[in-house]
Amino acid sequence: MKLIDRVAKVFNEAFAVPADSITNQTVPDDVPKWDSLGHMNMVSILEKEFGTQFEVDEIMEMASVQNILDVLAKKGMKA
Amino acid sequence: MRPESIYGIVTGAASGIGLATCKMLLEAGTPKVGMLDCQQEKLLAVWEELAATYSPDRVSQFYMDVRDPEIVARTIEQFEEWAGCLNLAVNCAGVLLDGAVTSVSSRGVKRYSLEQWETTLDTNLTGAFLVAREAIAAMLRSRAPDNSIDDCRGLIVFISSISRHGRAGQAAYSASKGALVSLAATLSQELASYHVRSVAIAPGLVDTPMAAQIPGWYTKDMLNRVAIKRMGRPDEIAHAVRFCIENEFFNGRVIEINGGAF
Repeated sequence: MKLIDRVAKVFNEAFAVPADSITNQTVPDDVPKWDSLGHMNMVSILEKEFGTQFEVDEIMEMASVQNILDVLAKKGMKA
Repeated sequence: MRPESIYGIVTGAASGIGLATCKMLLEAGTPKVGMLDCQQEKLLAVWEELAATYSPDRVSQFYMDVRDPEIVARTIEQFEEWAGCLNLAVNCAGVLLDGAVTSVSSRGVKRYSLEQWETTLDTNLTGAFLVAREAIAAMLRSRAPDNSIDDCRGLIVFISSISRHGRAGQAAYSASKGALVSLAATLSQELASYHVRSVAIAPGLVDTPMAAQIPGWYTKDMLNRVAIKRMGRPDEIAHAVRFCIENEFFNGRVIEINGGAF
């Protein structure tokens, strides 16, 4: 499974949006439940999915799906 | 004070609230506006635009880092030489370096760096203090040509923030913006006998390059707490600066302008 597909699956679980609606360009304005509380919930599911933990700076960096993919790539996560 | 009798400087003039304030002053007929900023290329670009619209006789630009006491003093002298006097200083220059003071993760305890703290405080607070100090000295040694002795001799405006009440992840920024309100109140008492006023404006979330730094999911949360559910525009904050100029009974206090944020 591609990295983006795994992130899309996390978004589906966290925000109840169809996984196929998630692209690299997705930003909080595109996802109604992606506010600060939703973000923390999504990060927690993301940590479980990838078996890792994120630093505060990394969590703050996640301002779009592309940013999330970049953070995951920096942590050595691969598809 | 009338905008037509203002000889004013604006820090952080290259963008956001600073730039909107310069435009407001020029539109209102202010004869001399000094645009001060440390982002030289950006400053030059916006100055060229304003000078072409309003005349280079009315608007000038000065490269200045508010953190350097000597450069601040020299720049204000240069403005005086160009404009003839100084009776308004609007302190908009600021930085936002987000981060929790101390946080814990699997890799241990992480601390907000002293460097980030000092950069924020040096720019937002000490910088505003240095500009105010030199601007007040200039106000006391000069008087606008059409001001009588009874008129207000000058005005210092500090751009604070809704974050002055405290906001998670913005300790340095919040502390600096809170301190500006205290500084405005103190100066209003020290300077009343010289007919110089000192005030603060505390905007909420405003659509500026600084706000663009904040992640969208955080911005969304902030907007949910705003009654009218939108960001402010820089010109709406500049409008509050105009109120401060024109209303001579307003002194030592802070205007909150945030769309009803609770």
